[in-house]
Amino acid sequence: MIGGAAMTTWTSVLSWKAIMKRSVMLSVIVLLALTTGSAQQTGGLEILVSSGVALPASPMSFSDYWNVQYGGSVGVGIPLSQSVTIIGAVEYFRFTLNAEGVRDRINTEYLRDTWLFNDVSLDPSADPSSVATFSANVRMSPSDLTGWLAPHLIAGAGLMHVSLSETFIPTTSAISPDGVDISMTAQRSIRGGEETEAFFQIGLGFDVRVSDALGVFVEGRYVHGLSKGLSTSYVPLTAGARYSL
Amino acid sequence: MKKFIIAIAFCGTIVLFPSCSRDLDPVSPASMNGQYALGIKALVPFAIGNTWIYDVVLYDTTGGERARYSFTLSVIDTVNADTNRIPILPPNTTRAYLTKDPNSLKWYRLQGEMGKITYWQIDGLENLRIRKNDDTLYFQQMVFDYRASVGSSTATSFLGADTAYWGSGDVVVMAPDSVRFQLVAKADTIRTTLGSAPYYKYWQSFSLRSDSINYYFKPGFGLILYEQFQRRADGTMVCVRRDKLDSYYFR
Repeated sequence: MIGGAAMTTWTSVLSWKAIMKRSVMLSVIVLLALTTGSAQQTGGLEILVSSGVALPASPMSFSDYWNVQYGGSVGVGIPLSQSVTIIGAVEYFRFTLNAEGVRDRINTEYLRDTWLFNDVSLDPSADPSSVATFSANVRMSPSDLTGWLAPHLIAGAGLMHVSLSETFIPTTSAISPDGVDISMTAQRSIRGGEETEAFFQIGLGFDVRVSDALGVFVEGRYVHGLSKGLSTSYVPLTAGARYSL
Repeated sequence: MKKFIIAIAFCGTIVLFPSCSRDLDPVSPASMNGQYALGIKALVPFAIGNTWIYDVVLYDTTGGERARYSFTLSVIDTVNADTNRIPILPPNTTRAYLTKDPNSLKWYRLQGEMGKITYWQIDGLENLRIRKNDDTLYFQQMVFDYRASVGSSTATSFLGADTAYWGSGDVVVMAPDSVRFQLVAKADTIRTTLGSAPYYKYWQSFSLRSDSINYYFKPGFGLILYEQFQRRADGTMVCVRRDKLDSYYFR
């Protein structure tokens, strides 16, 4: 056990050094990319399309029980200056039930051990859930960067419609009084709900300029609903393209 | 360079921020992590809305299957027994003694097979009591003694004539009789401080009737198995009806 712990520590040190070295190298590359090339021109209207994943963060019944299935957004940007763009966007993500997550959270062993059943099984099911947003955002990029790679900050607010499906968690317990097999199923569920709420989002991304009109970007955001009900939050990680008309 | 450092710091903030809000969880099924909020010690957990669905199989006296159907038993509401309709038992001369313990007058109203209404109660001694819906028959109760030792029986009590309508279409007319309940088995021992046991088996027998009934209760869950036996001409007993709990819903 002691040897194992020492080896784990040594591995951690190696990993940390490797991470530090790679981070420094990455920083240098990024700085070169930011400062090499011609200045970005202020274009006309921008069309943005992106897709990616969304990692549910809260509430717990959202983060632990749901996995993203697909999603993406479309938007229109209006450049106000070389560094500031106003973006209106519509985004949609669809989620499917994470059955393993449900099983991990609900302790069927407790039922078996304490209530003395022969066996206990759990078979969760639910319709898909979804989150749709309509937002107005401000995207800010450093104006004096001349390279093909540019970071940007994005912040915005809008309306979010959350549809969290009811999760059915029928738990079947088996018992055999005097040899008669009984499988009794608890009809239980975790309630869902629908809610339209205000939300804000804030994030960071990187743009790669392909040509004067076309660019691609990656972006990570934190989206947080402002209601006291579901108080939904999630983290979209998306990649997309923008085209200046 | 300064802007780049600010950007990296901002990115770190974004990564850390979501972890601060995980506890805000109004729909958390914290009460549903397997630890049921059941009436721990009760033979039957009562709450308005609680529902049990039973699968019934009827057999003929040769053991052959005759019919199969399901019915639902639901807790509809609670009622207080009308003391004005409860017969006075000697040596009492007034109904005042009936109201000494108001809780003893509170019963759960259950609707079962073919819409049959019965009244159920867990009394102060944790015994399960079941009676018909007529207060003039208030004392014609079936009593399941929760604290009985295995092998002991309740005193015989009187049950008046009754007619049962089964989901199969059978009409079962029961003559007045004396009845008693014996705790036949209490499998295993209490394993935790919650007071749990696999099941309690009660045997209901009659003075005149030749049939008998086994009731299996699982504390915290309710009646899980009901077996009705009938005596054949050769004196052997054969199961003519078996109700198995199929599913349940507890509020």
